[in-house]
Amino acid sequence: MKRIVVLVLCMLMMLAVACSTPSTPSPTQPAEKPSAKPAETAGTSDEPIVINLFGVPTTIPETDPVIPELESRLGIELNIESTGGDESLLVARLAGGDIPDVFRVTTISNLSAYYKDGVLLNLKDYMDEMPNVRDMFTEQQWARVTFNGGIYGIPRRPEENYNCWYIRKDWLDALGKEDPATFDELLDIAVAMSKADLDGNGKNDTYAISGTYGPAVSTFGRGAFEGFWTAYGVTNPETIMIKDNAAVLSVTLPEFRKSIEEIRRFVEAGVVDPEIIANNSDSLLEKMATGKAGIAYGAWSNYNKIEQIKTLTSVFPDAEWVPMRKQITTEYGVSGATKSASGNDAVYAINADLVDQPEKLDAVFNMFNYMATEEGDLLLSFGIEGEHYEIDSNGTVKKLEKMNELTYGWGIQFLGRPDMLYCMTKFDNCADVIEYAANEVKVYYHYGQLVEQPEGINVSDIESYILEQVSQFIYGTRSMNEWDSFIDTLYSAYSVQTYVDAANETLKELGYIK
Amino acid sequence: MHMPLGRIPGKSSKYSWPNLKSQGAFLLMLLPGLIFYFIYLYLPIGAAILVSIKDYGVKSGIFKSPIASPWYKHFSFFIKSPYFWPLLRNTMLISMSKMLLGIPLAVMLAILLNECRVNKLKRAVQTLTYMPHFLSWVVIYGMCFILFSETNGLINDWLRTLTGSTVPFLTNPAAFRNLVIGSDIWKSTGWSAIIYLAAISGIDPQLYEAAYIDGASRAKTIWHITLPSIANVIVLTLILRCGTILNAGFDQIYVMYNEGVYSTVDIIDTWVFRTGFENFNLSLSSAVGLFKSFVSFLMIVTVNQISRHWGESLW
Repeated sequence: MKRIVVLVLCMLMMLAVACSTPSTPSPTQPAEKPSAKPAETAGTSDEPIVINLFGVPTTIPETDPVIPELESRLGIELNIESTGGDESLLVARLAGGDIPDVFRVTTISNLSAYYKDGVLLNLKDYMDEMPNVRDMFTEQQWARVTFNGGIYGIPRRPEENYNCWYIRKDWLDALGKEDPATFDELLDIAVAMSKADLDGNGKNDTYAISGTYGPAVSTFGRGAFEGFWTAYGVTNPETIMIKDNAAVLSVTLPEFRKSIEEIRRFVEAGVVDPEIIANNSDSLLEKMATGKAGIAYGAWSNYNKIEQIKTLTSVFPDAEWVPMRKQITTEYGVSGATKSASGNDAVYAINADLVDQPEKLDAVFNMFNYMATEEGDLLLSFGIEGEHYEIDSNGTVKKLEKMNELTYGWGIQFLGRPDMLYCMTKFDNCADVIEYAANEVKVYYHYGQLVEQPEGINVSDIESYILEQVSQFIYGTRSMNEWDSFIDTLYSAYSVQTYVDAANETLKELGYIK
Repeated sequence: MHMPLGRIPGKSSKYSWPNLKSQGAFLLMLLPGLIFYFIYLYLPIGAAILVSIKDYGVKSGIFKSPIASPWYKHFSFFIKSPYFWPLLRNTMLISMSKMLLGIPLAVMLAILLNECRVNKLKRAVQTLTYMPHFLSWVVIYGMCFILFSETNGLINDWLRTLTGSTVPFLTNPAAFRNLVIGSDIWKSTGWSAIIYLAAISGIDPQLYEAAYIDGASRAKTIWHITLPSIANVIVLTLILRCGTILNAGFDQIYVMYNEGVYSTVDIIDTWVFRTGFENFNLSLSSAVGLFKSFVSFLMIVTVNQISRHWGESLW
């Protein structure tokens, strides 16, 4: 009997051990490469150095030819992990003490937090090892990754402005109207659009104006109200902007209140999509395609690429979404676009522990330096010469058919790209819109991303509170009479002044404020 | 084979070592489980306590990070912050509603299924009702959007045709909270009914027969036999749910919420995630997590004490 008990016991223990062995890798762990490289199995001294690169924002397909080409040119092996830009995956890795060699940090405020923690390598002394990278960026671009005199990240070249108002041209024509120049005219058009049943479904379900809602850093060129705010000379409510040579929180300005009153006029007229705060990129595109909206504010890269035009004309083949060519003006400003002064926020940082592995560190610097050469830049921006692009006799880049396959391209442009050249080449179908948005739309900068979070306050809580309250004022859940008490709460309960003071100090240091 | 289990009459009230020895095989079998709990549940508690009283830095690790000054810095930051009460209120409200509406509905469903005499129908209904349990919240949110969207949702389409007005289910803070509670109940009722159904099937059929002979109606047998017989299971699930009263459903809310409805559905867990994992404030989020566990612990002890009055309790 005892023997049986012992036997059963042993079996149970074995089962327990078997069950506790992890059999599947977690999603953040790198997928194993389909085939091991010969050099790796041979174990010779010239096997490629493996660099773990974490946080690439797009999924790189297995058929991707660009990264293997980069690897073979540099004699390295890149172990790339995509996160879709989800910073929490990086935090989970760091919190576990498992720090990747090179990783993408999505915001400057997080970069500064990692710097304080000592995770990041100070690149100041290594600048001579990456002369091309050093020369690629301006002093101000380096300044935003500089903390306490040290350099802790490799910036990314900023992109041009992509945003402007978009409108259904075919509807505008059907109504016999022209692009609006004032909000009164816009309201007029919007009311006509929602009343006229232009989608012809016999239901009063067109709301004219749609878009998405959220923090400035995450609306990705779909923010429904950015066209309203900028027309009043202010940026997104939760952002820090510079006014009269001083940093202020946009929402606290009297002009901002005026812009909300303007939006209220549209909401009360029943022409604003009541669900803007619940929209995401897909549901917005669907609404635009199904005739639920006729006016949307946003980036050409969301509405004007070939595949998006295909979606937008899938239900109404005559639908024509085009930028409004007139800017809406008020006495406070002209409708334009908002942009973070930090440029493109995401930067790449290097693990401080690599100091102990000089060979790998050299390989990392060599890699970034190569990316900053013309040859490397062409590879990451356009693909492989002869396959994805060719250079004609004038020395200009010409797109080949296969370039369209590199839809994940922006994720592997580690240092950004020569934006105008890139967009005009790759998205040649919308060249005029690209030029219009970049050259004729006024850009209003906001600076919050450059400001370190002061001790004792939680900036993300301030931001969510502002966004939540502003949405309630917009949709009338809260009456505009309570606006002043809302602003008072910001100062009394959320210590906004501390944040603004810190912003003033930082922006003075960086030279934005004289 | 004779193996003394538990206390032996006549001996002292304490377990004696030789006695333990004779149960060695059983204790050994318990060991893997204990080790599992120690490594994955007890060690993290210790780590969480340490992290929450320190200014945790990734580089210095749990032990070398400096202790926050004062040590309760992160706790007081949270408790004094303006969102403390709203978060607590939202969490409690959502969680309590899910519990107080969910348990009676599950019990009702179990009783209805039990009373159903058409076996095929019973099985079909049971399968259909516990199916949603296996759907992920992402899918359910997609369904909610299709049904409840104000611009192109099915229900608002009907409302528009019938009444001419629409209801902002997805963007109005109060309506959205009801949607969160409602969708959770829809997802979990069928699944939680299983335990009550099992309890009902354990009731001695003789009781029903006797009642039937005495002329009791269906309703009477439900009221006087079924419900009292499964009361202990209901109380048990109630106690267990109270232990997780501050878990208002992170995965659900994180998928479903938007900036416009923070005022009613932002709960402690979503806040902890945003603060800790999106903004790299690990000590603060650990402190809040610990606070949550402490409240849960108090809740479970209190509810257990209360339920003793009915003679039902965990210990």
